[in-house]
Amino acid sequence: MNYIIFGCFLVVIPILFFSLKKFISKKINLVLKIFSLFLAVCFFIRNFATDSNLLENVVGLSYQNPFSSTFLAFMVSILVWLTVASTVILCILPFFEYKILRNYAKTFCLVVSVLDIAFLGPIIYSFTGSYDISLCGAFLSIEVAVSFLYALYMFATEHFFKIPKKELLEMAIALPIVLILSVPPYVPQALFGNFGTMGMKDLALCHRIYLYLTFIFLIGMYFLLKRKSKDKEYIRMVLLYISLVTLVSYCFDYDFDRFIEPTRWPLHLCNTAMFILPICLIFKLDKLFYFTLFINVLGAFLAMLMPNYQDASGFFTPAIVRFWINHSMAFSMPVLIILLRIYERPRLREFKYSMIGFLLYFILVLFINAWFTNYDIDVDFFFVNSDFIADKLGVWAENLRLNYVWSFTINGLTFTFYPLYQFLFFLVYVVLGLGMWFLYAFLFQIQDFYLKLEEKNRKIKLDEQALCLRYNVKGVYEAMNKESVNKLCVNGVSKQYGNSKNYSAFNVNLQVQAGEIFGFLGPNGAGKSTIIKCIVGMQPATYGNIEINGYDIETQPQKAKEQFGFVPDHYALYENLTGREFINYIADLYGVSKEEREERISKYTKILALTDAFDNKIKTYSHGMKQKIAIISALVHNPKLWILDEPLTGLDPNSIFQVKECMKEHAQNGNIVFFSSHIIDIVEKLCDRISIIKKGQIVASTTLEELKDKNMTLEEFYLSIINDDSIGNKPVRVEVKKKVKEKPKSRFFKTKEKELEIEKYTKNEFETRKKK
Amino acid sequence: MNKLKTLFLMQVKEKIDFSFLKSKKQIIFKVIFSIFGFALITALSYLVMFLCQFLNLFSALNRIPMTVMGVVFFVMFVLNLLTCMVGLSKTLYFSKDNQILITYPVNANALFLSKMLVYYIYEVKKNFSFIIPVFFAYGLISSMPFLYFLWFPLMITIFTLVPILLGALLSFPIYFILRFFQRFPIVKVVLTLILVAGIVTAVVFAINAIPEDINLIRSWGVISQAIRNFLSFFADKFFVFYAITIFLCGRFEGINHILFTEYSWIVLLIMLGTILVLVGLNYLISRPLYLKMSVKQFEFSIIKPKVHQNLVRKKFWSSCVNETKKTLRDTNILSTTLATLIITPICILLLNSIYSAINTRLMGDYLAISFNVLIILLFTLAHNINVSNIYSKDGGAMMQNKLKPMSPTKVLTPYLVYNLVTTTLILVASVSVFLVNTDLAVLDSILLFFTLLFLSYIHIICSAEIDFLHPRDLKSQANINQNEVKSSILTFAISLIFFGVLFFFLLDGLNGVYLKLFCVVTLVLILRCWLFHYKARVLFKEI
Repeated sequence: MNYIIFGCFLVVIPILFFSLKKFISKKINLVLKIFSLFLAVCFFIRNFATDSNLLENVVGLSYQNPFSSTFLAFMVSILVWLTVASTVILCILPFFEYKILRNYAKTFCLVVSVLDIAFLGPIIYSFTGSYDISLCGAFLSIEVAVSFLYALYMFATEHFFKIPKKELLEMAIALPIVLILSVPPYVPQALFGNFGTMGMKDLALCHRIYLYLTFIFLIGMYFLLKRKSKDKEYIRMVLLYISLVTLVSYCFDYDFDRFIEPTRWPLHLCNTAMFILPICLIFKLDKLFYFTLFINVLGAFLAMLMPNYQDASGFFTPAIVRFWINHSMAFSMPVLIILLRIYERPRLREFKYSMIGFLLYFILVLFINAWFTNYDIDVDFFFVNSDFIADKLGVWAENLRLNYVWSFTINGLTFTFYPLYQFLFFLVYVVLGLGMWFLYAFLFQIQDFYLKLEEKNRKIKLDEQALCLRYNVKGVYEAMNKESVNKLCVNGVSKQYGNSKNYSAFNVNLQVQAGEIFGFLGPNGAGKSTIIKCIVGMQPATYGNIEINGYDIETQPQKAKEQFGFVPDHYALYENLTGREFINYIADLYGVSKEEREERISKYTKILALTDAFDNKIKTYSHGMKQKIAIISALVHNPKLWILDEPLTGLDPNSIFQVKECMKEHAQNGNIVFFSSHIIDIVEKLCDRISIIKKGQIVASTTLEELKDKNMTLEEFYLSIINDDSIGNKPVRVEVKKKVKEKPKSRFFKTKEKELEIEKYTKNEFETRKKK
Repeated sequence: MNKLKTLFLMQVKEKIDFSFLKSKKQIIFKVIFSIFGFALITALSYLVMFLCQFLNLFSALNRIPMTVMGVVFFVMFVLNLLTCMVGLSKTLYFSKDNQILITYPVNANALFLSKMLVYYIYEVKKNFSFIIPVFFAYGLISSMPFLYFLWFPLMITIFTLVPILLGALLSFPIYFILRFFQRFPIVKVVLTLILVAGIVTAVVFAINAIPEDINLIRSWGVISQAIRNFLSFFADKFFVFYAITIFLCGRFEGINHILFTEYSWIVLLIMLGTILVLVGLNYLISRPLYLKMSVKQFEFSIIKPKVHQNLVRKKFWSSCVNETKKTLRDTNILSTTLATLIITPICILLLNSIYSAINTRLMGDYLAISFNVLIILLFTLAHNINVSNIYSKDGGAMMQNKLKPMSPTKVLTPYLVYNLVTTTLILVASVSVFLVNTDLAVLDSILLFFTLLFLSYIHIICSAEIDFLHPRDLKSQANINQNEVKSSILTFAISLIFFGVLFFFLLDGLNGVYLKLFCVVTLVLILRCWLFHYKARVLFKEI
């Protein structure tokens, strides 16, 4: 008989579908939405109308099996389970534009609905205990018919069996979540038995397993969904699916008969979460969500620690499974929603709203408890009416509860309150809620740190990939820019420190050839040291790149660092090592052979008069001696590029002469000497070419030959540039568009926007200078 | 006077962090946290006193006698005096700012006075974080009148001058001793070793003195009598401190409390007189010495060293050798390591000697195992707190690590070699002593050792991470070293959590407790190593 009803619907529904489609101007998605809602209503009515389920008593497919065979019990149990998943998928399908839903509809839902048709009779029997016509049977027939036709429609319109490999993989990964979370509470017991009567409370093993699973779910889901963090709608879809299937699992216990008893209403804190979560995911209800975030999460966590079910139950006893589905979700889902930014992070205002919401809820349950106690002594919403919590806290709490009782009667109904106990109960919860606020703040801090870290790592990888692509090599250390060999190239380097809007250096371009001694001049705070720090890799450049002997300092730091030796403006040495130990340490780092280091150490200690003190600890050295050690350490590996930042400070005249000789010799050997100093006389005598930096910009570059031709000394030239307010005096302050900052791109694949911005600025600056 | 004020403000800002005054929000936070900290210490002290009172530990009258507070006050005074002696010798004679301050156009007396004032303010601040809360707790538990809570802080603020002035006088010999140690660090190490050897001998003697059967309940009468005898001895022989305590806290007559006794004014006058005498002595002795010594250079003539050969090593190995060499040449770290290496096993031996003398049930055995583990962890992890400064300690040299042609992980890891090795040695020594005294199965013993070792490694890595992510300027004394605070919190957190988990698991009678713990700790170690590498790779260049 049920099959006849099913057959009728199988005919009626397509007619209805096409009529509706024609009626509403072929807007197929709207029609699908109507059918989805229709399916959801049928599903709800069928479950709400079913007052018992024969499967609830089945244990391990054999005990209290209502069917003639184990196979039938197995199939019905499995199908009841899969139907929940299939129905929820079909219900949310037209509301989200995602392939994965359509793929599930045309494969998984189709298979499940076909099996449902095949086992329709036994399934209806499991719900009603009879094969006769019933309301439940009729609605189930409608559901199966709608699901089958819906899935068939998707199969026909979505290229039949064609699913790309990537989508198949995505489906396979999602399948455990789709299945495990949709399990009705009685199905595990029906399929696997209830695993005897193990300790389910007091942090016994089984209790702990459920706790571990809750945290595994939370962490696992976070990391799975974090990959899609930019697609908020996708995350919302997944979370909505989870909240709906868990709501369905939870509601298996709520039928019409139970609902008409107000004392059984789902007003316990964690029960409310089951309804609040899908509502918050379907509609944008901020205040309701923050209530669940601060209040439900805490309540669920406390409930998970102190569950209120019987200890002598099995691991798969339906009441236990229902309890854990309910509380695990009430605990995890709001946290997932906030971490995945479906709702914005709460501010103090939202916290206040949630506390006001809690106050209203608390007053409501106090009143309802007091009122309903007149009809049923067991009514105990939020556990504020009974001694359940007081009992766990000890005798003092019991006394506190019973010593202060306030009771009055209205119209024959007695209202009893425990004012002090209930007030303290409320207060403690508010304090714990405040604790949650700090806990969330801490959690957000950690999350932000790791997200930033991940973003930076992504950028590094992107840069490396870009470099490999550019030079068509496999590993980043194989890459080498042949055009920059024997050169130091600073290409459009800009540097901002921290969150400063000012550039310490802006669009600096330099090229120094082999054999050159290059002087880098500028007043204090002009940005000389910033540029040098960027060149040596002590500070990353904000924009632009630096190549040393063909290697990029950011992307190939090790290779690039092997190419230079650096003498900083403030020596910083390992004071507890001797001079020899320190130099040998540096030589080891650069892989200098024994012969070479013997020769160089002996040469430089001799010319810098350091031989006698070379085996003393550095902390006993004078300022000049330490500077000499810094110079030797920079030269011990005979670098291609020698960078000196104010190197002559504190040296005696003989050493100054020797260092200058070393610089000349180093350049003559085909190396580069990059020299920054305030002492213009020395620069003039030593350097072949100079650049002047002012307020972070290179304002002049010239050779000493050119200056001689103009009959100008370097000092005159330098002062004319520095004292001319019109040159480079525009403050280097660029409003960096947030978009660029938030989405760090590869330095090689810069955003066009940023490139244009820099180009435009440089052009303007250049033209102003030209006019002057 | 204005110059004194300027000097004082300049130095006080260096010693005490006032950065919170910049914003109202920070002021509120600071005030709330200070009150919270004060309340917490008061509450903890109250709890301890309540327990003592409940157990009638010091008196059968269900009260804590004044002599107990006298002993507390005496111990605090001695500790205060010691810290003042060392602290003032550093502030007055070793402080590098002397060489700049002396060049300012100020009266040299003002300089000395400003330094003393700054130190005084610092000590008063310290009082509010310990001694005052403890005595407040005493006031609360003894139901003292409200006036006591005003009187005590006021008087202790005045009394703080005594250890400071005394410390300033005594700091001069300390200065010479410290200079001598600076000149000959080996003497410091030898003396430390002698001291440690002395302690070891004393402890071994104490261990031998432990009776074979301890029954606290049966011998309670004897213990209680011994405590009371000691208190009477203190009141008799250290009458000065007892009298000062009565002056500060008042006296009980029956159940009545009298804050101001007939001797109060005499004691007050004596105290003020003592302070005046000490001020005079300081003016005559310490001030001229300070002016003479503060500008003295601490450079010694270079001794012609032995010439060494140049050695070639592999890149990473060379880093490990040189970083370890640097650490080994830091006598402070070396002494701490040696002390931990010797004291930890001895403590464990002492603890187990007491345990073995007590007849325990199964729960007691589990508690004994857990406590052993707790003590071992506390000592070992505390030894590694120095890792939270390991990079900052190098100052500018740390920044130049970025120049090394190595991956960030390879640059940062060699710094940890010393602690990784010494931690292993400390654990081998202490766990061996523990295992000899317990009947743990061989496999469980091995697993427990590696679990503790890995926990220590996790702590080292976390502390190193704290430092390389937030390098600090160790020359500035203004702020409390947050890195050390974080590492210390981590020490307590790891030790207490592991203690709790181990005890809970043992009590739960689970199978394979040690294996489970080992697996979890190993996983955490792997995760921490990976995170260290990951953070170094991404963030090192930005620091």
